Amino acid sequence: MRLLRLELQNFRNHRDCCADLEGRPTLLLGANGSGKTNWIEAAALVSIGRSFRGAKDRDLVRRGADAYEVRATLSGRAGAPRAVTVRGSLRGPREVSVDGAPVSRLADLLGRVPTVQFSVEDVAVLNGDPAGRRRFLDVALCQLEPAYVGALREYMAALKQRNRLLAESLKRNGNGGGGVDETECAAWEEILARTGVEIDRRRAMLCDDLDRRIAGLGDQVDPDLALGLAYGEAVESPERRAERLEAARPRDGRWGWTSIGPHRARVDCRIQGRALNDGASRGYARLYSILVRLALAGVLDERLGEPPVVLLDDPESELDPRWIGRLLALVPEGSQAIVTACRPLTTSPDRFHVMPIESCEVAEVVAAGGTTT
Amino acid sequence: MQFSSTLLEALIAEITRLPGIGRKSAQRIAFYLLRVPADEAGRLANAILELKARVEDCSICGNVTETQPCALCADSRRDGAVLCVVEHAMDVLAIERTAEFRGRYHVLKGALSPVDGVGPDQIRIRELMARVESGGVTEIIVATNPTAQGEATALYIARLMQAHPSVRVTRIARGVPMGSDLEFSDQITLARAITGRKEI
Ligand SMILES: [Zn+2]
Repeated sequence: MRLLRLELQNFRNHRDCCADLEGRPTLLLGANGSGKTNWIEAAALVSIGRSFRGAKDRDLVRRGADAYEVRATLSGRAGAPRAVTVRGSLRGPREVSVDGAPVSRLADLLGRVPTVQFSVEDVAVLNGDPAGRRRFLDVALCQLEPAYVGALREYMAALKQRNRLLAESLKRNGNGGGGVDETECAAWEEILARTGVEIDRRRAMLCDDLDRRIAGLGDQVDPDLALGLAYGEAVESPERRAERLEAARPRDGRWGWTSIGPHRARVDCRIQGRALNDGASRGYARLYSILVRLALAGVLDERLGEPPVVLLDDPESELDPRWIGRLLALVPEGSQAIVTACRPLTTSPDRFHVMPIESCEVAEVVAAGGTTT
Repeated sequence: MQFSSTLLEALIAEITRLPGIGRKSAQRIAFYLLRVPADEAGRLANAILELKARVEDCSICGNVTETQPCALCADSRRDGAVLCVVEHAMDVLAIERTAEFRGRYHVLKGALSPVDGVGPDQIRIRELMARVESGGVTEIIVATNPTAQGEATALYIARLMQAHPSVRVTRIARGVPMGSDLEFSDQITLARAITGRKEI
């Protein structure tokens, strides 16, 4: 998949801008505050249908405007979308259309414009609490496997219901527990068991694949890195999971929430034999974050038959300058990389096209043309 | 925008409360009604009043009816040994349209959803158990919606029925897309779902 052109209207700080990327690997060069990250965010928006920074539409609309529009012109394998438009406003739902036809369910967009994204905030995600690492797997799996979206949605719906059931009985009976309708609780547990093991199975398979790839990529950057990734929840049968949920019921009743399942799973990122969140330097954490995205790009390429667009926001800061050139060389062949930076990269492959970015608050159209280093 | 007639405003406010109707559509309907002849508007008003005065729930199955019991429960040609359990009276209509089912119905009037304060006591589960315990039922087809709530309700009923091992409990096949309502699934899909039901 390649981005030929990206147009932003009233998106973040951009009033009306257009970038002719022409499918080339591109370095977006701009000072802090120029809004170069917003281009990465816009490119990801047409892929995953939402902001990878978790921003709501009211944050994405330029101050003083009512609505934004992001239009992407694309080129990919036969049958791949040629144009995706995302419109959002201060009120009302976000509208997505693919080749001019409106898309009503997010599942109909996911996986059709594959991307991987790295941004500064992601370092904290891999480094911080496990919820962020689970979300990374979920976003990837939603692109890879349409059935995953359904399983995840059903699981989350049933989880909310069982938790409410437990919380209500806790309120009625105090933390002595008990009082929950065992049969009703078991009905919700059966759904949690069926969808939960499905989620675990798919996450574990993806982690295995990523583990193999990130170890290989790490070796190419520095043989001492010894990178790894492992999924912490056991893959078991739905019957076994239902038994464990039933066994946890008294304790869950005292706590008022569900203590086991994929919503609590550990995802372990390892570097040099230690957990990433166990004192790894920021430079190492950042390197890991970028490599896990490149590993994911390899998975998407293989399983979707379409090399994803690789979006890297400011990868060079806080990174050993020797690494950046090697990292960019690891982008899968056929993938278009779009990279932002404050200044020209220390070592950048010469195929990169350089595009200066300015805020389009005043100028109508910037970021067209540019030079090749 | 406010109109100069408070009566018109009141009508728009009432229409806006109807499901799926926003303020713009409500205004269009209200202005349409303003222009139609009085007898036509009267027929609509009467239809609503008659409905409220004469339509009630069937005392046996919970379906909407003007007679007690309803025509489906009174029809001696229908097989009383097979009960089809649905969430809403509208689902009875959807299944009747397929012409694949010749048993009787049980309308739950909802599905389990603790988040919305709906437990087994808030839907017609007890009435279902009473029908089973009074004898003669050999199969229950659970045709609740393929949503998490509909699933949980089906599984809940299957568990209760373990006390009645002579009653076969089946769930309509997953021909109906997950997350959709029976009401909106097309007739062929629904017909296939009923004939291809599975034990739960
Ligand atoms: Zn009846």
